[in-house]
Amino acid sequence: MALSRDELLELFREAPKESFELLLRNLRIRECLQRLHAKHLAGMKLSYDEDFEGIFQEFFRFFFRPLEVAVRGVQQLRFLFFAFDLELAEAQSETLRAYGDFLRSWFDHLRLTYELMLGRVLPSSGADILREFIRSYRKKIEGRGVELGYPTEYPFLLPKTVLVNLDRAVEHWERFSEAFGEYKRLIKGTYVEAAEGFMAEVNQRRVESPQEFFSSFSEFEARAFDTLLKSPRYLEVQKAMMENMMDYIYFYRRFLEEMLESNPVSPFATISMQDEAFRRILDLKRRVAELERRVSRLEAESGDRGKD
Amino acid sequence: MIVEKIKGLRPGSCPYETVYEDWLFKLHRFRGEVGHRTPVLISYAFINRPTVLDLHEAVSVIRLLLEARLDVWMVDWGYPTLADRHLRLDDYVDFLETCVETVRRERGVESLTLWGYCLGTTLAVVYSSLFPEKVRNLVIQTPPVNFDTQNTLALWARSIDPAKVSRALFNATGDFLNLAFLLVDPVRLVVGKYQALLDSLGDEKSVKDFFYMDHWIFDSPAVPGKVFEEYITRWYHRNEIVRGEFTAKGRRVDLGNIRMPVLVLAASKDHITPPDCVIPFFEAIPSRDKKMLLSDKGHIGLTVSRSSHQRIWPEAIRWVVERSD
Repeated sequence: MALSRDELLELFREAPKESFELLLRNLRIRECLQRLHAKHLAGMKLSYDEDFEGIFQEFFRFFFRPLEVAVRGVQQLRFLFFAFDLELAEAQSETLRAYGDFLRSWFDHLRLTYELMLGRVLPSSGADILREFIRSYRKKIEGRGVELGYPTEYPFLLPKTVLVNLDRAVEHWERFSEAFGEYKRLIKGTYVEAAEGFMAEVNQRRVESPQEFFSSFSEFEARAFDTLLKSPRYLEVQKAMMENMMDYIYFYRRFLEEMLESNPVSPFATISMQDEAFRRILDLKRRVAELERRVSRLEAESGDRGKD
Repeated sequence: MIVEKIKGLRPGSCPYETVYEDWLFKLHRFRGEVGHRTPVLISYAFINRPTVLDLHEAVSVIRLLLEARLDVWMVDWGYPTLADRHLRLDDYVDFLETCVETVRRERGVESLTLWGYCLGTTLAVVYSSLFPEKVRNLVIQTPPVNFDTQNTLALWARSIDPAKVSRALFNATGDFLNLAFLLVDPVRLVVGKYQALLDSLGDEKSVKDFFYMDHWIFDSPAVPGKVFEEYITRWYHRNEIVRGEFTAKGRRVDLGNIRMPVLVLAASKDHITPPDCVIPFFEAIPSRDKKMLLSDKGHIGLTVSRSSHQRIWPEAIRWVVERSD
């Protein structure tokens, strides 16, 4: 079944995003299954090929993606510390160029509009306005290196916990990456083994119905995963992966937060500060509720005594 | 076109009013003609939205209750945000108490039918043990009370440290929980289910049913971080309720107090809360008027399958009605 481009866009608006994604992935899975079935009907012996691999990639991308995002998270650490100047300049050069073009166009637009409206010719200095600003700014900060200090002073400038948190973030990220690699191996191994079981069966008997072919494949896989997901090895790997991912997130956030919290010119309240404020508010709310209950009880008791 | 079949389709068909609100939590009352003295208060699972009980007209449990002229109220646990991270299970029991008091006052009754769904059941059991005099009947649907089971979800819950999740994410987010629920049975839920949809795209009813369900499934509130820590640790790791070690509002939860009539609705193919989650509880409680209806469906099928609406629900509603005057 093919969905038209318009239908896909409408579907994206109407369906939950997860349903939409899974539907698209299953359309591609179906194409792979149809090709496999066609090969089967043509009398070919099935073997683990790009169609089985395609199914695996579609199937598990949904689950792996959030984990891969977490793995990539560490790139931010590298970006910040190991090649700061070079990568920052490279990453931002495109953006700066785009802004420069924008400013020049905007200046020309204003100049031409004024010329048209006022009948006066204004100087066309737009081409160099950004360069002029950058030149002036660079001149202003030249020679300030001694006053500002060097990045090597940072370990003494920041609270010790900042760097300890960074260290722990990296440590947990390494453990997470290792567990994630093992997790992928377990999942892939199970998938391939079940696919081989399926192939062994359908290579011995002809399955005419596409539905039967698809559901047989699904059942082989589902049974294999039922066993895997309860196995002690899987539980161990999943635990290591999840806990290290959570610790990585926590320590990396604390590292960033403590840099902000220790900076007197930072105008930002961190999320941990807000969390603590919410904790105190909720605690107060509970105390107020308890006081209200006591007042109600006392009022009820004094009312009863009044009746007596 | 598939889109034409599902345009504007959202779960929830019965109108209601919000009677009470306390920051995150709300109490709703469904509109309907009341013909029985004892009102029904539904404590839904705080991990999902309650619309599965009113998915659409053909499979709405709420509608059946209203058609039986029962007065139906519903606790809405809302969508927790960062501001709610420090809520505790005690706060949930507290709000349940507020709801019970509101319903009693509004209706001028001493007690009501408390109806728990999934994790709302656990709260309902805790409440019924602490305040048995206010619970005339207890109905528990797909109930996790005994957490010492061997289903995949329980094994996973027992193997994680929820404090690490709470510390990193603040709340157990809806996306995080959805991923876990799908990963419990990945082939059937991520491939089988969607391949079946592709096979039935020409059937309007099937397509609509599918998207009603998916809208409900992926409308996932977060679980407040501290509640997540508590329920995983105290219920899954330590199984405190069945062991008689759970305390709420400073008091020990004693299943020996469950003497009111009890109806259990369980599903034999339930992979989230299998019948083992309730059998030890059912056997332990001293109630003399207790009954278990077992569906051959799964966790959600019990509520929304048309066969359950033919076989299980008429009997369940009759049981409640017979004890509501």
